[in-house]
Order: sequence, then C-alpha cells, then structure tokens
Amino acid sequence: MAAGKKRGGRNTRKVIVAKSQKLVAPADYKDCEGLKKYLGPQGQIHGRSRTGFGAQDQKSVKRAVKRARHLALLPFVG
Amino acid sequence: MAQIYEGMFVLDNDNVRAGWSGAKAVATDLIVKHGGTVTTARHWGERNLAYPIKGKSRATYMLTYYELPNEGLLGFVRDLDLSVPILRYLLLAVDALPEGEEAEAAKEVASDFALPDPPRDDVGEYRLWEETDEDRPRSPRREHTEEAPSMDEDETEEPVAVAAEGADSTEEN
Repeated sequence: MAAGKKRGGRNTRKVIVAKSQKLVAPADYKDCEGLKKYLGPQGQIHGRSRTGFGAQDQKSVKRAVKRARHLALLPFVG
Repeated sequence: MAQIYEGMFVLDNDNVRAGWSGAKAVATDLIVKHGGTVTTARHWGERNLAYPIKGKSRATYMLTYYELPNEGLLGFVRDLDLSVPILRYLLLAVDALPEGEEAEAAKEVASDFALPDPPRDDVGEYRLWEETDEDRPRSPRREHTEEAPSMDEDETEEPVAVAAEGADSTEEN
C-alpha cells in the first residue's frame, strides 16, 4: 500500500449545496421545489455545513421547511 | 388595530367538489364574521398531501390575504379549529400584500374562470360534508357486526330442520 493513503474511515467530503450553485435561501414555504434542495432523502433538513448558508439564511430555510411540513407540502419523514 | 395576514387553508376535497365558491366561503365567511375584510382569496391548487390528514390523501389549497382586528383573532382561530372542511391552516402576519397577488386573484373573479379538472388517478369517494352519518357508506366491519344476529337466527332454525330430517329418516326406517 502506498504511503499516505488512508484505508477506510469516515467520508468527510462535504457537498456544499448553496455555495457551489450560488443559491439564495428560499424564505417562502410555498416554494416547495426550492426547499427540497435542502432536504435529505428521508426529509431531514441539511445542516449549515452542508448547505453553506449563514445563520440567518439557514434559519429562514428551517422556518420555511417547518411551515411547509405543517401544511403537508413536505413530509416529516420519508 | 388591524393587521394584514396571509392565510393558507387546506380544504377538504369533498367540499370543493360540491362547488368552489361554497368551499371558499367557508374560510372567507369566518374572516368577515370576526370583523375582518378579505383582500384576496384564490385557489392555490389541488395536490397530494405529503402525509394523510384526517384520512385524506388529497386536498385543495386556498391562499388568502385579509385584514383582521386583533380582537377577532382568537375567535377566528377557535372557529378554524372547529371547522370540519378546513383540514389545516397557517396564518402569518405580513407587512403588505405581495406584488402580483391582486392580479392572480382577479383571474378567479373573471367570468371565464374554471377550476382545472381533477387528475385521472384521483379515485376518492367524495361526499358532501353536510351529510349525516347514516348517508355514509358503511365499512365492512360494521356490516359484519350487523350480519351477526341474522347468523344466530339461522343457527336457531337449523335444529328444527335437523329434527325434521330426523323425523323423515325414522319414517323411512
């Protein structure tokens, strides 16, 4: 095995969604398609490290997703 | 002091199929009842729900903007909670009416406005929400419980039939 190569271990590669695609945080719960970009396959909200948003934008995404979930526009799970 | 609100209502499709104007009036009448004025109210689409609400998997969304005095808010929310055809609602205080909202709502007022047809895969059994429980189709389980007494009657008749057969058999012998 070549020196310096890691075997196994946790995959720490981060995919930063917003910065890579230069996205603006959707603050509106009615924009379901826009909000789905920040959800995982099971419907969980991606963290700030993954979305690349600042605190204010991340909060607006969180608030919008939770409003959309209340109206059954987005799922809680799955 | 009045505040402008944005209200999103999830309406029962049973009620919407009976007539859009009537379904719309369920929410708008409540606003007027509590001293508010409806600025715009429009159909926001019928769609599959992400999870069932009160046993419904499809519903129609209605988006409204209205002014409501602070005194009327608690009573309005209480009436919304008690309302049967409103499955879910979300009320948000907003600063002003969004641009283009009046134009969208005006399309609905036009005489040639017609709701889009329901999708072909929509095979729900719809009924008017005002109907009584007796008008509802009965579930299989309930029918089973009603049939149970009739089975008992059959059981009571069977021994008579057996006795008659027995009497016949004795005569043959």
